[in-house]
Amino acid sequence: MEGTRTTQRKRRKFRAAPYLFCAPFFVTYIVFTLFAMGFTFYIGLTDWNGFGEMNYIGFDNYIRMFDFATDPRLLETLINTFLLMLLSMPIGIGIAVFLCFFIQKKSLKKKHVFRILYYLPALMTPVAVGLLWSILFDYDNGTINKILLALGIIQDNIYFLGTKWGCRFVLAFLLVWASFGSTVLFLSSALSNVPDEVIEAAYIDGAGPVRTYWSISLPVIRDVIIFIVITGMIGGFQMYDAPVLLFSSGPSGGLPYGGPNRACLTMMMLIYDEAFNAMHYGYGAALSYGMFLFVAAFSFTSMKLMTKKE
Amino acid sequence: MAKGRRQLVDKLVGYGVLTLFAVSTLFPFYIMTVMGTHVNAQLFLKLHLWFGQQFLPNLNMLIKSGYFRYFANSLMIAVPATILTCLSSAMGGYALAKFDFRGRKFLMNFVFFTLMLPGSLGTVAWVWQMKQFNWINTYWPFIIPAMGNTYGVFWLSQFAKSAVPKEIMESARVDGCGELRMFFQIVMPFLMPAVIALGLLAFVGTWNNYFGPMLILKDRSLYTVPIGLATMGSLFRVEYSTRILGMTIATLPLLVLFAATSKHFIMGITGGALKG
Repeated sequence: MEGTRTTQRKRRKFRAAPYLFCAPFFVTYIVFTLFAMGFTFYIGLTDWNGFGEMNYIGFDNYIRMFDFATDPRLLETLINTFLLMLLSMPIGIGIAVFLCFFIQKKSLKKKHVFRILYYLPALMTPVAVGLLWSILFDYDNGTINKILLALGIIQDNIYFLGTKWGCRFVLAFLLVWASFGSTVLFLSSALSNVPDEVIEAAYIDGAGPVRTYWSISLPVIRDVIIFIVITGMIGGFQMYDAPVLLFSSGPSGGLPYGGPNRACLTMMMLIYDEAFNAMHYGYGAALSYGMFLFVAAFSFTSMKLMTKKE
Repeated sequence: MAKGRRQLVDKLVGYGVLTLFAVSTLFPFYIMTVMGTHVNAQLFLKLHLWFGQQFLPNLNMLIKSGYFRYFANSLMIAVPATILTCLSSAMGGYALAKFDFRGRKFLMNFVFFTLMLPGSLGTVAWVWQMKQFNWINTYWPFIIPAMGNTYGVFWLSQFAKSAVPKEIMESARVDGCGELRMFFQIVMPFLMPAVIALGLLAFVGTWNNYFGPMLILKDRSLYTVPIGLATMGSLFRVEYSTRILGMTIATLPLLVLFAATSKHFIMGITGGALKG
C-alpha cells in the first residue's frame, strides 16, 4: 500500500518530464517525415509539375503505373532489385557466415581489428564508391581489365558495364563489398550471445567445431539473418547514389541512366527521374507509393515466413 | 605435441583466411589512393600498383577547384545534425524506457510501426514542403529533421532499458535531483556506448547524403562533398586523378572518426537492439 502510494505521488510529480523528453523526436518526425509521407500520397492524386497548380485527377497516376504495357519501368525496377539481391545476398551472407566461423573462435585474438576492416567499405561515400567502381570496371581503362589481361586470364577487354548482365554483376559485386562487413558485425555480435554451455555440451557430445557452428550456433541467429535480408531488400529498393554514379561518367564515357536496357534501374532512381528530371511530380509521388507497396508486401511476407517456421 | 601442432595449424588457417579477406576488402581503397597520386595523362596508360609523384600537384588542383569549400559545407551540416540526432534520440529513448506515463505504450507502438516505413517514401512532398518553408538553398532541411530519427529512438529505448540501473535513478531522485540533471549527469553516461554508435552512423549518413542536398542546394557555393564529387568531372573539367584524390580525401574523416569510436560502436551494437 505504502509503496504504491509513493510511486503514484512520484508519477504525478514528474509528469511533464517524459513528454518534454519525447517531444523533440515526435514533433520533428510528425512535422517533417510523416507529413511528407502523407502529402506525397495526395500529390500522387494530382497532375502537379513542380511549379503550377495541383489539379486533382483522381487515381490516374496510381492506375497508370501498374499498366505495364505502356510503362513497364515499375515492373522492371522490381525485377532488377530482386535479381540484384539474388546475386548479392547469398554471396554476402555466405562470406559473413564463413568469416564468423573464424571470428567466433576463442583461440584467435585481435579479432575486432578484422571486424573493423571489413566494415570500412560501408562507411565510404556511396557517390565515391560508384565513381570508383566505374573506374575499376571501365571498358578501355579499367583496373580489373588491366589485371586480368596482365595475368593472361582474358585476351580482350570485357565490357563489364555495357551489357545487361555484366552491369548487374558489377553492381551486385559492389553491394557485396559494401555490405558484408556490417553482416559480419551483426552476425558476430549475435553469435557472442550464444551461451558457452550450449557449445560445450555439443563438444562433449562429440560434435566437431564446424558441426557445432553449423547446427548449434547458426540456428540461434536465424532471426538476425532474416533481419539482414529484409533490411537489405528495403535498402535495395531505395538505392540511388552508387548505381547513378556507376554509369554516369566512367573514363570510357557515360552510359545510360540505370545502365544498358535499364538493367540496374532501381525504384528510387525511377522516382527521381520521373519527379525531378521529367517534372512529373504527381506520377513520381504515385511511384513512391508503388515502392512502398512492394516494401510492405515483401516485409510482411518474410515476417510471416519467419514466424511460421518456428 | 600433436594437439599443439593442430592448434597452431588451426590458428594459422584462421588468421590466413581473415587476412586474405581483409586484404581484398582494402584493395579498392588502395587502388584509389594510388591513382590519386599519378599524373592524369598516364593514369590509364598502364596499371599503377604503387604511388606516383603527383600527390601535391593533384592536391593543388583540388584546392583550386574549390573542393575544400564543399568539405567545410559538409561539416557545417553533419556536426549539428549528428548532435541533434543523438540528443533527441537519447531523450526520447530514455523517456520511453524509464518513465511510466499515459500514452507511453501508444508512442512505443508508433515508433515500432514507423520503423518499417521506407525513409524516402515522402521525398516528393518533402521537397514541396522545404519550398514552403523557404528552406531551399539552406542547410536547415538536413539539420532540423535529423531530430526525427526513428531508428535512433528505437535503438536508444532498447538500450536504455537494460543499461540504466533503476536504483541509481531512484537514489538520485531521493537526493532531490532535477529531471534535466538526472538526464545529462546520471543517465547520459550509461547511454554513451549506444549514443556514440548512433552518432557515428548519423554523421556518416549525413556526410554521405547525396540525394537530399542535390534536391535542395542549387548554388555551387553551398555544395557538399558528394555533390562536389559527382559534378566535378562533368561540370568543371577537373581531371580524373584529381577527382580520385578527392574521393580518397572525402573518405578520410569517416575513417578517422570510425577508428576513434570503433570500440564503442561495436559495443553499442552488441549491447543493444539485437541482443534478443
